Amino acid sequence: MRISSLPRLAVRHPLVFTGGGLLTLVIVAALSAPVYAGDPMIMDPFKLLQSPSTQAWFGTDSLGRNVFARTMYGARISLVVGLLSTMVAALAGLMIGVTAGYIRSFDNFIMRVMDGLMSIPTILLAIALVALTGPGIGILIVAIAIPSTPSTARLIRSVVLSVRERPYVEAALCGGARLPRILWRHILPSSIPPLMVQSANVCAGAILTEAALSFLGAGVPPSIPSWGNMIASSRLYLSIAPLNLFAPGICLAITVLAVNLLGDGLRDMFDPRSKQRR
Amino acid sequence: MGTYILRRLISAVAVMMVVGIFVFLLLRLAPGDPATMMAGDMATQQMIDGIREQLGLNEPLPTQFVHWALGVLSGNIGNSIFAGQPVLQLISQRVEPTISLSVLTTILSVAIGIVFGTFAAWRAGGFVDRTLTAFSALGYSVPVFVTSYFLVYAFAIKARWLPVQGYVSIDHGFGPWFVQLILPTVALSLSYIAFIARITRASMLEVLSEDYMRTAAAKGASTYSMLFHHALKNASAPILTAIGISLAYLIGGVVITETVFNIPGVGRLVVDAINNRDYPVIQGVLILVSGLYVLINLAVDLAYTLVDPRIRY
Amino acid sequence: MQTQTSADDVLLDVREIVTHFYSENSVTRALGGVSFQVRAGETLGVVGESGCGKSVTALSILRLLPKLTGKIVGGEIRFHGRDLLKLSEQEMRKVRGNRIAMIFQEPMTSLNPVHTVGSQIAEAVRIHTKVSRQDAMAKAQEMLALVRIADPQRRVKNYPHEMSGGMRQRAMIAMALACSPELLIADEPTTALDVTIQAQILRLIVDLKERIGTAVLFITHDLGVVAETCQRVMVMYAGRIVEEASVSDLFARPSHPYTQGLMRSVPDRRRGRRQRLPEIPGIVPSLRESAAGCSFAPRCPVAIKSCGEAVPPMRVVGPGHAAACWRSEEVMGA
Repeated sequence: MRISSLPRLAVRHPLVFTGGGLLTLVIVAALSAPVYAGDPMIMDPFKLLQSPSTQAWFGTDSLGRNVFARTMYGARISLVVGLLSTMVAALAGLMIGVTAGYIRSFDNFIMRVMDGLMSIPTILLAIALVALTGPGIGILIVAIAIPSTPSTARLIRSVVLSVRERPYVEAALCGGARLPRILWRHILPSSIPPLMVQSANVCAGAILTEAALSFLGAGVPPSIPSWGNMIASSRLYLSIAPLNLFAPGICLAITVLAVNLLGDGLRDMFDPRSKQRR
Repeated sequence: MGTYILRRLISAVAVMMVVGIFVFLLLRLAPGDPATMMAGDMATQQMIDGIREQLGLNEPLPTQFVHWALGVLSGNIGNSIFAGQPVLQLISQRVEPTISLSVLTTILSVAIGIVFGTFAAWRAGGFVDRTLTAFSALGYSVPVFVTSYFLVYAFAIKARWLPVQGYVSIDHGFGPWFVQLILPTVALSLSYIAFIARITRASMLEVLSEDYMRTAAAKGASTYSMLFHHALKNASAPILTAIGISLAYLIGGVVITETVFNIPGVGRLVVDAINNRDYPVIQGVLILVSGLYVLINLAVDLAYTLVDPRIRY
Repeated sequence: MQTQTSADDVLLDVREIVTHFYSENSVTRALGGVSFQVRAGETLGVVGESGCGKSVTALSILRLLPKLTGKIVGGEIRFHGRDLLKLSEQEMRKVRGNRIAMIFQEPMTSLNPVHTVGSQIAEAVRIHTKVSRQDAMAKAQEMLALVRIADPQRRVKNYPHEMSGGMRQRAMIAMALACSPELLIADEPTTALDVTIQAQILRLIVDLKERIGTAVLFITHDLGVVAETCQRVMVMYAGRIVEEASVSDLFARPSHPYTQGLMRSVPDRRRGRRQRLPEIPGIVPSLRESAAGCSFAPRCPVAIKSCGEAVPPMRVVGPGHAAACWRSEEVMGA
């Protein structure tokens, strides 16, 4: 996208502009944290729970670590877990959805399995997985992706079912076009817009779930600066050092808000009628 | 009607079987050795073998499944490794605070969500509507533990109006019980209020433009009667669905809220089980909650027939 | 038939109402100054093509325009001498359904699907009179019998989807007449029905009107229906009344070229009822831009240059007969 088209985007799709802008800001802040934020791990036993200062803009935590630095680095965990689990869920949902929509004899079975997975609450499933394998980013991504997959699979399945009925697809099928070609030429392009909207929702949920799991002690290992971990470790000091808790909390909310706005904006962009209905 | 319920029950059983198989396989197929994991860092080989024996992990997979499934069907969803008690018993000891919190949250979310959404739809584009848009953006984006701590900081620590945390059983009187639950209920409700209000608004907006609403206006019906007698019942199917979904998601929020407010409920049981690596407890709660979810869905489907006479199964 | 009346039996006196519809970037002038009177007990027909402002006139009288987009920007609607446009919303509610009632075009969608027909009729009664629930239901049953629905005891408990279209329109009529209104506005009440049912419903409305003594404002696009039901008729075109006369005068001496066009294109019932005015060339002008002259001029077979320059006012062309055409005299003679 060229810079010159940004003002037009801002006017025509303000939600996409605001959400995308905020998200870009969070990503840049996370990536360039080493340049400006300071070290998130150094503990200073002589500077515990200090108020904000020029050295530590958000003060220090109960181990004397720089809260500002930890908050900026914390964005990395949220983004990595959020984006990767969204990608895993989107890919898995795409494959399962296409299979269910295309191979009718599998459809019923697959969709019942998806119903089953949907009936397991995300947080409990993630807790169960983490309890079995121990905390780690990899298992966290899998744990969040599994319960997010059924809704994507359902969506893709419905797209496949409606695309199949279209005359030009039927014609292509009769003309002897093979499945991969149909998928590539017809089904994938129709799936992308709803998939993007859906993925934004999944991503917002994933970031929230990661933070919740870390907060509960079932997420990333406690030493890693993630927003959920920071909130969990600063809750005892809420009355004396509220910023320790609210700095990561507000950053978390802003990031999720950005992703949600982007998702809403994309939906309005792809389906202008939804704007009036909302 | 009878055959419909039967069909729904069969599909509910199918879903429960999927959940059961999934939960069963989770333990068996998880990478690494779950018994070692559960035994903890200080475990001896003997302890690990003990856990392995208790979970029946030494037998062939099909045998394990039959044993496990028969156990679950007869109401035995396992024993806690840490406490040694049956999981069902542990849950029943902790269920009162969880039910209290869930019921209060549901009442608050449904009542406020429906009224909020209805008025937003009535004056679409007006003040209430724009407030709802802003409110729901926050409700969807601010995680429940951040909201909780904000409320604790503002109303318990600074203003000192309400207790910071803890739970008082309803046996000690309604007043103390209720006061303890105000903050957790409000914190937990916000996102559900946003969700139910948004669905109500969308559904009402559609209904309000129907011809029969004009007929009601032509009769001289009051605004209240138009909205709540004529429109709401027509708009209620999506709202019921939304309430069902909210109930299903409630458990995740309950786990977090109980942790924040130090409420000794089922959610805390699960969180304590993480720290104790007590997988059977987590598994037991997982199965019960999934079963509840399936039942709620069934109840929602049947509730449709109550609000819309056109639906006949 | 009453043609000569004194001023004090005028029930509804509509004076120069102007109604606009607003969308994001345009204003539609749906009514451009409509005036007419309805006398107690009479049936006044309103004819015109779809989009000419018939329904907007009806909704304007009851102040039921879509509240965000429609607005009455000028004029007076005097009911028993009181301007309805000056009433508070609460006072207006006491008029709706009680003194002025309305029935709509689509019986399939105009009844609330989740309440029984009986309770919907009873509601109309209970809004305006202090009666118990049972008495209101008894009244509902009585009304269903009045509109000749068989087995009213059973039908009061029916939901709308359990009834046929004709029966639902009867139920709508029962609901509208439940409080014995002085004026009934019927907005194309038979358009959505089968031809055989149409005739029954028309007869029912005419009968009940006589029995209850209600005045009727009968909106239709069908001149045949007007001939069967009305005493007086006004013809609307592009948000204005272009001709007003007694039914017999209108058919005998149509004085506006548009009316003449309508007459020529009265649908032949044997060929099907959906044929609308095929013989007037051109389309209804867009109400977004305001034309300088007569809005019918672009389609008019007898238009002359001056027709495009000034809007023709209503001029008396005979006793109780007026038309808005610069060339009425020539047209009438033609």
